[in-house]
Amino acid sequence: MTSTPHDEASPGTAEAAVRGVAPAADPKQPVAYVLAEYSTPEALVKAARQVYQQGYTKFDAHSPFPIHGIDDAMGIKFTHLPWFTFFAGGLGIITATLLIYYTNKEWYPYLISGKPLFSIPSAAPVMFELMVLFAAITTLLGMLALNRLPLFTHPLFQSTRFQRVTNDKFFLSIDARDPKYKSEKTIQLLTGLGAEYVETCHKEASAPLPWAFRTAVFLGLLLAMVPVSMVAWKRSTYSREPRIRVIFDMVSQPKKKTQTTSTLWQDGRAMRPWVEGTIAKGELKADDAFYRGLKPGGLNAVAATTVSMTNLVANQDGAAAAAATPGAPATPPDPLDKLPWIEDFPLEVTPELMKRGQERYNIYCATCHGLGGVGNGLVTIRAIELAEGTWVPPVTFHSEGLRKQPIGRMFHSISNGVRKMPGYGDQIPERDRWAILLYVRALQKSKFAPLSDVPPEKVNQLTDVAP
Amino acid sequence: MAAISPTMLDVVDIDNTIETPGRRSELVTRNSSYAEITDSVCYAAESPHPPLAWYVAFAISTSLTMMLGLMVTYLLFTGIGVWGNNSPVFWAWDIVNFVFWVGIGHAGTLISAILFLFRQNWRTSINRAAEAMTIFAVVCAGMFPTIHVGRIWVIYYLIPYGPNQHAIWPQFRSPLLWDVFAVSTYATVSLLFWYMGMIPDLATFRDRATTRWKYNLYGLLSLGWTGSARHWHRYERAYLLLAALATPLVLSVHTVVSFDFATSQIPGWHTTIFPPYFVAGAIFGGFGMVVTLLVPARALFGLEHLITLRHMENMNKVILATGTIVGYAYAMEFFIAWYGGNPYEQFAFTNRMFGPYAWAYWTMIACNVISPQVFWFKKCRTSPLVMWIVSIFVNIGMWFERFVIVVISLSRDYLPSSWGYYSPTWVDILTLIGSFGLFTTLFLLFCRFLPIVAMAEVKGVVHQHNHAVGHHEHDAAH
Repeated sequence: MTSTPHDEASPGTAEAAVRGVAPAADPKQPVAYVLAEYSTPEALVKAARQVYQQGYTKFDAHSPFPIHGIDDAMGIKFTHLPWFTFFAGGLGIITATLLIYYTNKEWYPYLISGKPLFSIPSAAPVMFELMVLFAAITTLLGMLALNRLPLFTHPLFQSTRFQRVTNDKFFLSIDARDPKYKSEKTIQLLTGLGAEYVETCHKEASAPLPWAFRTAVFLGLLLAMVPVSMVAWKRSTYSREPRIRVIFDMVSQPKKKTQTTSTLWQDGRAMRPWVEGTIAKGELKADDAFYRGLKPGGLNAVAATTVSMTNLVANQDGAAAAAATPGAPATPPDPLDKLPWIEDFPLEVTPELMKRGQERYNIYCATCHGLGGVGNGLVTIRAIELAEGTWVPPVTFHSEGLRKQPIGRMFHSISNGVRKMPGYGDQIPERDRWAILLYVRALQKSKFAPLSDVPPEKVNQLTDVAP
Repeated sequence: MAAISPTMLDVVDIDNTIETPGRRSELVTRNSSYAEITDSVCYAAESPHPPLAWYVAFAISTSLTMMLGLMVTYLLFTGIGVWGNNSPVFWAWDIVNFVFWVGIGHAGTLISAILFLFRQNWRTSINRAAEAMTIFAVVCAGMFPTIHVGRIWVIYYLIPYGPNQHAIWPQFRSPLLWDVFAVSTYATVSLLFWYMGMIPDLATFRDRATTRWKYNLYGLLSLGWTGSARHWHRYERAYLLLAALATPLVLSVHTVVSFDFATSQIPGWHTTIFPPYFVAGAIFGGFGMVVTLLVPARALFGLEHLITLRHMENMNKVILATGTIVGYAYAMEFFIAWYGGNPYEQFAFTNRMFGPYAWAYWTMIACNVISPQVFWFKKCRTSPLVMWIVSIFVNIGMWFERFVIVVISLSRDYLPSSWGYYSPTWVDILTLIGSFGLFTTLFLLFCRFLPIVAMAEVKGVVHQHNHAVGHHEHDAAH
């Protein structure tokens, strides 16, 4: 069941269809190719092998599908194309690596949960994709380049019989530039090799591409340059015109913003002032002692300092640090010192509160301040190891100043921060802040308790430890 | 309704679905000559008028495509609020449709690349149509995340854009950015693969052109192909290389898509089974779509002797196998949810089965796991009507699978106070329907203007087959 050559009269085949469409042959031009037609792949392979053995080098076989074994018959060497693919793939990986490294680590580092800015596992997907992308594009373009394609004109296209090369016929062409080429002898050779038909193809007389086509390509390229040059021009010049907004109502929304005027109200302001006597939801915190650590009416004293309560963070790097530096200017008086802080806990002190305070302290505070409150938490140790220049070590709770500091003032420090420590008011509810303070007081007491505070039955144990 | 080309009137086809031990069955069911194969394939593009069914289908699809255009315009000028997306379901039909379409695309590359590497010669008859389907599915898929960003005019922020004025760069640790690279690489490589495979066949169209307009157009597209043996040598090597590149690529794309879910911490998403399960589901859904398209296309354009029942049967076997893998994955998700002992995960899966979206879950199970089981029976595997109906069920089931994963998981996560129930709006529904219109419009245009079957490859396979049979007889004579 070998394939039979198709009937010449079959409808839709090349000769019936294309006459008058393909370029016409011009016999006045010199011969470019000798073309022989075969009807089976086997006949083509046999002929190609003979031609190759005769010493021809500029010849080619043409077939509707790849014929296996013809490479050997024609002496076709293995292509270099895989190397193109290999190096393009490598270039893809390098490009991806550099792109990710520079954009995410060098130019725009953005720390998320302490994850590394550049790591192979998270870069691997993009490295792989760019490897495939570069390699695939290079493979196609490389194949075309090695094949000298695209080729919009070829002397063989003048032959109407050659139109069946993409259908069911097999051809052998010998280039007239081949050193072995001799018009009569070559034709005789091909006829002798079982060709059904032999003809000569002449060089093209006319321009390879239609005039209209070349003009269209030229105009197309010219037009394609317009947006590019407009972008380049806009990028390199300044303009007083407002930006062009495709969809404008996202930037210019029909609403009034702060610091703008309005004709709606008599005072002409867009922003409405606070109405006397109103309180925003969740803002009713009348108990000064519990919520702010101040004596009743203490807020009036704060108002007298002309600074708002939440801004009262002692953010100079500590009086102690300044005093330790010889010749440093005298520390300005801390406005917080003058405020009426409470000295006692504003809530009932119970063993449960102490337990709660210990637990919260170990969660929120111990990482910097250390479990014993001397300022040796893991974060502190790490920061000192790394010699972080901006790091201010937390002070020990067992210093004279802190042991005597009013409890309200310490509450303020937890809530709003002190020096480099951020305020924890948003994270820890008031009751828990007081519980933590209770535990801190217990820690302070543990280092400076007089012997009389120790229960008599445990005094002996103490002397064993610290004689 | 089948249009019959003049060359195939008095031919009796071989039944190539019969298994004969020790003998390969025919890849085409007629003793087709090379010219007959050319004529059959070119007939779809060369007949003066396509069949009436083509016009009807084209009219419907283009109307739906225009509707899609209106929906997208409305969305862009109004905002994402026209969709049903709202807290807690911020990823809804847009992402469901994206994953659905990009999954459909996988069958094409699987058939063209993986089966090529495995030397499955039967792929030659169907790979062209499947690759075309891949490209069109990826077009539909790419549309959804693009319009989902809302402000499409700044979509270029996704690209690592050199001279950027805002001095910010995309975040390469995000799986969503991996997705941008994976899907755009996939689209590009599929297009290259498809186009390169078509060059010899476009040259056939060029050589058979009857008007100068067609001659120039197909001549331009076929790049001056002369069927030279030296060209074929590099061409085949390039094809093999592209297949070798596309094979890991196709596996990577749906893996990366599954990372969008698997790397998050939503119960029902955060599972390691996602990459293989998504890939199997994509192949399953993609083959379903290939069958849905090819059953009518082969009848309509008289290609039943090239795209034979054997081809359809093989695809149905793949559907059965991958459908069962998907069923196994569903079962394994449940097992791990129970075995893992995470109460949120356990809740997520109980909620899928018996929660407010149970209807979606059971639709998915019925379509994906149960319906392909009819393919255990050869009668069903080789009946065009049965396989067409089942393939449509598979498409529905795979859409619901993505709905189940995306919407159900988001609608109820950790905090009962932020639970919700998602309902699509009319814009959601019409956009999905419109995307099918775009897909079929492109496919119908492809059927009419480009070679539906890879002629050069089929001829090569027929030649090899004849050659092998010839050798066999020769050996027996000794």
